[in-house]
Amino acid sequence: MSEEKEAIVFIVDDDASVRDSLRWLIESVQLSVRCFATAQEFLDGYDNQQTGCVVLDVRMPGISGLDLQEELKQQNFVLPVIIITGHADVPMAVRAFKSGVFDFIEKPFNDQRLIDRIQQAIEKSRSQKVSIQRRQDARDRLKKLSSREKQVLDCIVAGYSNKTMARELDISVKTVETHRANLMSKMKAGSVSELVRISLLAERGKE
Amino acid sequence: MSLYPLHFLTGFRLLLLLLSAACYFQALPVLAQQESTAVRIGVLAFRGHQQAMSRWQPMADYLNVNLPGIRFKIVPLNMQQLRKATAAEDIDFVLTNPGNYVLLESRYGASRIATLKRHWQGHDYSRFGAVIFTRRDDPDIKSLKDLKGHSLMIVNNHAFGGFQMAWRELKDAGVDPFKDIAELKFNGFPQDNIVHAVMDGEVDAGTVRTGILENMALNGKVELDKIRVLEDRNVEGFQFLLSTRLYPEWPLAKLKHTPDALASKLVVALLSAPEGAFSLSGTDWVSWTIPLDYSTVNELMRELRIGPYLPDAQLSLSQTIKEYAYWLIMIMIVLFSLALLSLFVLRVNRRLVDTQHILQDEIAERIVAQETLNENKHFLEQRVVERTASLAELNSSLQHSEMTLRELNRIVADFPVPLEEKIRSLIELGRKHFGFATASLYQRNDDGISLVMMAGVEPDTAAISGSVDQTTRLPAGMGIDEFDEMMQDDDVLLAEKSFPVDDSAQGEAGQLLSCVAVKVLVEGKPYGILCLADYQEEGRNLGEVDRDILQLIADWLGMEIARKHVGDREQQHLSDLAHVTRLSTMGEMASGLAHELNQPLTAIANYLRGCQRRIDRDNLEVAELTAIMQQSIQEAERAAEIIRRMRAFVNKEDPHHERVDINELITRVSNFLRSEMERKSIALRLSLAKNLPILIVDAIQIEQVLLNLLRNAIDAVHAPWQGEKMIEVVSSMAATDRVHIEVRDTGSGLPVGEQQQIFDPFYTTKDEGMGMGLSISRTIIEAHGGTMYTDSSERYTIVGFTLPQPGDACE
Repeated sequence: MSEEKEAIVFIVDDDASVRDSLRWLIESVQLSVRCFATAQEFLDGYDNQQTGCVVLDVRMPGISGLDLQEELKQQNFVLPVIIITGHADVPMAVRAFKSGVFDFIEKPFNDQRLIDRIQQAIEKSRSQKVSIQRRQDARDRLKKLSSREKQVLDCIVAGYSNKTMARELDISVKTVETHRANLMSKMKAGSVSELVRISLLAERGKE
Repeated sequence: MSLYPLHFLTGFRLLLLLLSAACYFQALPVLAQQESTAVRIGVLAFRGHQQAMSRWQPMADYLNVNLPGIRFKIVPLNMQQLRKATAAEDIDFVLTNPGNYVLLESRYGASRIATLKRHWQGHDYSRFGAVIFTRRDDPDIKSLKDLKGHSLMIVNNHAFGGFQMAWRELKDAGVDPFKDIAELKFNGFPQDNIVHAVMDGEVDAGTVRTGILENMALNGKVELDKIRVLEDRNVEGFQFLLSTRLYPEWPLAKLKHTPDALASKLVVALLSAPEGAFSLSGTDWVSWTIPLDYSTVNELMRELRIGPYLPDAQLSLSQTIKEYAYWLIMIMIVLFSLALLSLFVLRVNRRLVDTQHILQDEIAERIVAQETLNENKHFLEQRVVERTASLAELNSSLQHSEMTLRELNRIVADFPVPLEEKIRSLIELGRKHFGFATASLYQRNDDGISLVMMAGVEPDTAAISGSVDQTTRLPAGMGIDEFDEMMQDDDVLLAEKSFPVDDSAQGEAGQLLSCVAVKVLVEGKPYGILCLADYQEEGRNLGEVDRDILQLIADWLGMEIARKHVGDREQQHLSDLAHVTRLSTMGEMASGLAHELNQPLTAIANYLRGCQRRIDRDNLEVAELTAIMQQSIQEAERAAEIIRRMRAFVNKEDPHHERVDINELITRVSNFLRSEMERKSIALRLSLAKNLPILIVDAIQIEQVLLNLLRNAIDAVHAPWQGEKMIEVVSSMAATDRVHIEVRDTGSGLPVGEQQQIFDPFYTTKDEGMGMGLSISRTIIEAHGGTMYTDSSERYTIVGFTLPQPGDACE
């Protein structure tokens, strides 16, 4: 989970020469590259904790590039995916973007564009990584709350006053205040607005 | 009342008495005769000769004493011997067990005269039974049924008291001693041993005749308390332990041949014997009493199907007769048949004699007839010679016709010959066959008659008269009206014409003077006339066969002309369609080419840009650069190869037929699609037969057909198809001298019932298909004289075509 860990560009292409030449090109901008000949090889070998991005050829035997992208989406894969195709058509592009690819690049492509997009994708991956980390922290904090504290938190988020809360939960206003102070410190929130933000962050992506 | 009658009566009685006394003394010599030989009493020696003698000799001694003048002799015999002796009348009386007695009674008519009575401890018994017992402490056996699966000891299976009585009770209880009893042990005699065996635990149960147990108890050999009697019965007046029904004791029986008087004397002597005159082991003493009823013994035998009721018992005399009745009847039938046969032979013999006379008369008649026949034969032989000569003549003309027909067949079957040449051959064949000078095919057009084709010998070209119509060269005297008349006559297809030479025409050389004309129909409509003509005036007489041949030639001509018309139309159609196909093929090729070239070009670009970036950063080593350049060169070569392949494919625009190695063609087309198939994970297999003949075809067209079939196959096994993805191209030589090329795929097959439809134009199973590919392919293949076919199931589809071998004419 180290933020300093080097980003890796994963190349999945069945054509050995294209794969090899892509590695040559991308390595020229000091990026680490790992190559896979088939989608299955990649599925067996990737690390979801890694930052970086994936460059996929759309036409591959076995699992095609688009199939792989959809498969990865199913597996809560977070790395951005750039799809390269030699023969694009509109339905294919629509399908690709619908399944959430980062970009869709047609061969023959401009090397600068590819490298730019790869770098942007890695950036996105890094920031995703940070937000994921934050969300995880928020969740961890939320877990530390007792059930009564959770009820009080829900009421605060819903915008209830301490009085309403006491009536609603059938406890004294004093007790409400104690719970409130406790949960503020457990959630490491300096203000109510920060508390609401952290709790929303923890809730997001849970549904 | 006077006293006389009384005296008379008394006297009468006295007289009767005297008379009877006389009778008595008269009978005596008969008895005396018997006395001289001993009266033999056969006894059943169940425990051996010696024991039987000691048992029964006292009785014989008693009788010998009490019946002086008659000598009784005891003859100990076993069961078998006893039966034989009875049958042979070797013995006069028999003393045996009840079971054996019943058998002898039913087989040989022995009849009981006394029954044995036993006396024991103040009781007497003339009946006995058997006791089936076990140890009292045996926990398992409480009733007869419990004996199943246990061992049972008996005397032997012929013993009446020692087994058969118990058998009957067991059977009634549903126990078959021979199947259900675990072990049936034979003890023999004495029965005491059975008791010992049971008490010692050697066997689970045993059976002995009544009295044995009590007798042993009396002698302290066994304690009755320790014995359990199975199915214990109480019969009034019977003191012994008992498990079975009671049966009468041993009988003494006389045999059939034994005189009644002797039997009575014996009975009287035995019945009047004093108490204790005889004794047997296990009794105080025995006596004889009047015979009892033995039907109970009979019942037992019947139930058990033994003794007289044994199914395969030895046969009695009456049974023997019954048994052999069939043979006797057979013998009688044979004798009767022999008698009939000899009668028949006698009759036949008599008839033969009669016939002989008739035959002799007939022979005389025959001799006369023979002479007449000989005369007839000579006459017939002469006729046969004449007839053979005429047949030989006919035969040779038929052979000639046959040759013509063969030739006709050859012309018709010869495919690659152009149709016009075929029509010419047909006309020439007709001319040659009949030996006409010329053969011409005329066609009736809107504007007159035109000569389509002519074959034959010109007379003397220099001498051709100007009067002959040079454009049509119709025979002399045949005008356009006559021609039309023939054309319109539906019935007459064949006309023979002879044109009289009028003065004006005479002497003109080159004038066709006689002809045979046949109407030629094309697709059922009059087309023209085939005219065989001569320069002589004399007409010809065509035989029936000749007329048929001529008609056949005309029919074939019509058909070939029709084919030519259809061919012309198809040619037009084909070139139209070929254009369409070529366009669509070009489109597909362009798309394939684009992708093919994209790969190496992308790679090269990547390599070069990678180099450039490294150079910019001054971060490129020479060794690295060399390797990358090598890679780039390879990619460039790859692109060049694709272009070369493409060009080789596209350059074959020449529409002419050429000599083609079909396997090479298949390989070329498959290579073109190979990379696409690899991309789609489709396995490709080529199964090409060696030594296929060189074909003369339009290579481009056949390539189009193959490309089409392969494309269809690729589409059939491509996504969403989930099964095996394999395409096989097979070339082979069929028995019909045709080359077969098949494309097989492992797709889901064609819809049932639509296998032939696939060749129809605009039939397609693809979303984006035009439905033209197979239709065009079939047109191409048929234009080459081949056929297209298909075969399909749920697991595969085969689409194939045949191509004919080039004939000799084309080689």
